[in-house]
Amino acid sequence: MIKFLELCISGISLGSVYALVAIGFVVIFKATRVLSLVHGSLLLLSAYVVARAEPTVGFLPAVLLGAAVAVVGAVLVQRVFLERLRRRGANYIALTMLTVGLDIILLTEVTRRIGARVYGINNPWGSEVIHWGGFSFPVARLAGIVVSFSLIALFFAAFKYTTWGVALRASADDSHTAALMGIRQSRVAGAAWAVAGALAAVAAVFLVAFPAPGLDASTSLVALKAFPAVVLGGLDSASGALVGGLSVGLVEVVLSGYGEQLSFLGGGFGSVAPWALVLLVLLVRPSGLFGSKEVARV
Amino acid sequence: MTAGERTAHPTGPLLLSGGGGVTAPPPARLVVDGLTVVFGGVTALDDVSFTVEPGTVHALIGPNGAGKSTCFNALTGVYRPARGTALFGTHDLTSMPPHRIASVGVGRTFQNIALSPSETVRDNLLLGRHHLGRSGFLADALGTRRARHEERQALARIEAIAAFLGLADKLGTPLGTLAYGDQKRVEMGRALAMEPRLLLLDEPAAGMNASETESLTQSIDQIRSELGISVLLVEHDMTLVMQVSDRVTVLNFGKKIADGPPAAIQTDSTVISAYLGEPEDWTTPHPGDGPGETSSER
Amino acid sequence: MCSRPSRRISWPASPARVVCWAAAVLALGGAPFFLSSALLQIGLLAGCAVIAAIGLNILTGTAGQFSLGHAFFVAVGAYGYALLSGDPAAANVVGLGLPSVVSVPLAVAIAGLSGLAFSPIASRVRGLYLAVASLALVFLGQHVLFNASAITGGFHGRDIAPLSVGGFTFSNRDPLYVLGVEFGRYERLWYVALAATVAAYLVARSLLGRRSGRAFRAVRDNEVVATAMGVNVRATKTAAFVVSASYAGLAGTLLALTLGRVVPESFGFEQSVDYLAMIVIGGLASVGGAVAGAVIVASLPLLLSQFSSYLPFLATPGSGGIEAGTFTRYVFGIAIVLILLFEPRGLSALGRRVASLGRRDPVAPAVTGGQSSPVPQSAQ
Repeated sequence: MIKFLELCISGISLGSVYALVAIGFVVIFKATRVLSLVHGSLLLLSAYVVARAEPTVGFLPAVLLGAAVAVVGAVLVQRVFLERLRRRGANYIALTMLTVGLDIILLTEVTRRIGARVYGINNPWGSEVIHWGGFSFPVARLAGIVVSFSLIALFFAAFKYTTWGVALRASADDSHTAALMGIRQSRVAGAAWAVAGALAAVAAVFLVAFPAPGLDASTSLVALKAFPAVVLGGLDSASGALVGGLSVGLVEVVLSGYGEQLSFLGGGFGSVAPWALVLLVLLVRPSGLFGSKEVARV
Repeated sequence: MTAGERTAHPTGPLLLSGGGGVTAPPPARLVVDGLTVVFGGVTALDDVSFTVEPGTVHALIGPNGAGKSTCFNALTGVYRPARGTALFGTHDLTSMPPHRIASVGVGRTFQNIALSPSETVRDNLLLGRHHLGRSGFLADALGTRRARHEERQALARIEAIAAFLGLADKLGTPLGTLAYGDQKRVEMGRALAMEPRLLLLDEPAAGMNASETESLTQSIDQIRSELGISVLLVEHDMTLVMQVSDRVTVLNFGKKIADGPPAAIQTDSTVISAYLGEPEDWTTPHPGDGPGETSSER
Repeated sequence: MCSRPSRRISWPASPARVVCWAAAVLALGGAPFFLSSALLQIGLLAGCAVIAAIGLNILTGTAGQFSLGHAFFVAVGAYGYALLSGDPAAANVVGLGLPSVVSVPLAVAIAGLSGLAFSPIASRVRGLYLAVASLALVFLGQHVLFNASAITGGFHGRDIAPLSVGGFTFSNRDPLYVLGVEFGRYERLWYVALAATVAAYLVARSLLGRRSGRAFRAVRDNEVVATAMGVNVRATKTAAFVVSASYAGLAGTLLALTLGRVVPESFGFEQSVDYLAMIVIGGLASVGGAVAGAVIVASLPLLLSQFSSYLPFLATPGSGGIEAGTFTRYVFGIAIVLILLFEPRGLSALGRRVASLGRRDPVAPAVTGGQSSPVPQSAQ
């Protein structure tokens, strides 16, 4: 029982970090109808910046710098590339493939710089573990939960009450009318990409923190785990992304924790279980749990 | 180039008997009975009944939002009605798989041009013959003798239809490069290529100038008298409606408010008061005069 | 190149065209006589990529179904062949010991059936949801390849039984000399691959130029319109998946025969992305484009590393500079971005432009994908 609860806390911690990335995907999808496949390398880039800057400037400034790099990178992707293609009426396949092309370039560059190295990022929590009546948790995991949920709460508040949030929701519901109401689509989109970049940067810090081994070239693959999360919840549902992120984190950690009992499913089934979950959910609900059904176009 | 592109006939005669080897089944009447469509609690179409007699042009008119397009979409299986039937001959259109509706002899055009801009006029027209074809994926892949024969027959028929509509010299042109009026004609041609017994025309004159509307009026007249096809017409251009229709059904707020020959409808007080909100539909002789040849807006 | 096979534009057979064709036939047919084994292997791998890319382009380019899972279906073909033709007496992997000529079509059929098995999802799930669902196939597939070691050989993979037709084996056994050239595995397989690739090309052109191809494009451009024209949208999507998975299966079988050994890492996420890169670079919905894109994406990294010692801008592996593999990743990434921004119809359109330079007829303006004008959802 103690093991199960520990796994649950750990799963929620990982899940909340996935949710950060997944919410970024939802915001991007709402604003630009694209699945950002460049996110994995943006996340890797910001983690790399944090890892390189931290020894000289300290943890918090390094994180801010990493986030700034991710934000600038994301906005550039949207402004310089996607917007240009979107104006020509390109469909979602072309737009998404554009993010694939950018991902290949950025990923190649960052992994080349990282090489075979593994960067540890010194953070305030280090590798401390709290012991409390039979339970034990890494502090970094708890910090992950606190920081992620604070940011998620902040995001939902902004989504609900700020002009940007209203504009984003309006554009997603009916881009034509939103444009008539004077909403500058490209501004909303730029801000959406910025938010997604910032969320990914924070997520990156926790994804490479203890008890994970640190930052290496494969960290970008971790960002792919946010895909099942976002599709599970529904591409255009922010609360769906939260639910999806938590489910993916829980399923992954709990199933991995009981890996021995599940060995008939193969070693490491926990880490691919979210993908099986996504297929099961789509089989029943083709637009995810909370995604809106596409209206037939005539 | 292919045989049909020798010279352009402005509007040549179109012999229906050919039909690519398909013998025309007897004309059938469309009996719409108690059709009701509900969208999330809102009744868009409320208990609407009317009958389209074989070989007639039947207009469906009403102010914006009256439910005309909803009715079209319910008849073609895009929306499932909550109640009611639409019997065409012996087939209930509202309960059959939507893709089977074409093969019982119902063809349609779309309000906003719904053709493939990157395909040639020829391929856009050939799509209309899909339900008449029999060659499957394997036969097409292997290019069997039957598949090739079928393709040749379809092509010959398409050339006749293109000539009928004055498009004979444009078969090889990518659709996206045609003028707006020509695109509208291709839209009509594709519906004719379906060899329908009942043709649903959704605002065929929208965006046309006076002379284009004039030739459209002739085409609809020919379709009824020479080809013997029944036409159900949704249209805002009252001059056109009154010129070509044998019978008119008027909808307002989803309900039928009048039904009768054009002359009776023109003097019907309920209809006039329903239209008072947008008098331009009534008074302007040619609403199409305004936009002129505005192919650019689409 | 015309993209509609059934209506071939009969150009006058200009001497230049005749010479071009003759040169191509001679070069491809005679390759085993003047290319080294290493280059032949690169050519064979390019052939596999061509077949796979044609299949993906039918699915994604023509039918508009965005798939990130193509590598999975390639794996089904490769491992399917390995299982069917494998030696039953092998120590740690299962083999059914079927004759290889039977195993090849069966492996292709199994791949096609796996596409069919995916249809409950493939025919209902749309757009980017489908992209992620197909990505799930790749990750779950990798998991199976690593873990079902009785069939797959696990991490280290398993050996492949050579193709054998009526006693003639496509391997290095029984030395064979043709016109003084030693015909080993690659030389012998070359003609098999050439025939398969040409057949894959011709079948795709035939399919896409007829009723089925129009149904695919109609489903891509507007499902409501397609339905009104009598196209069964779900059946058409299923068919697109089956066709594309069968192509992937053939590619996988040929890949297994070429490599002589299959390992999981040949069928991962990166390979799926590569297949997409091929069709975007070549030109979405163009069969010829898929061929060009596949040849470039598959062979460029191998050719560059083959000749890296002659290329001053490339470093030898391990020296810390930019290696051939890294270099080609930059090239592909940049190529995808530039092509999407400046010629969304890819190399096929560029090729047509070059070809039409001498002629009068202009190339049609670019129309990127369907539904260039999203229609308001009118529900009066």
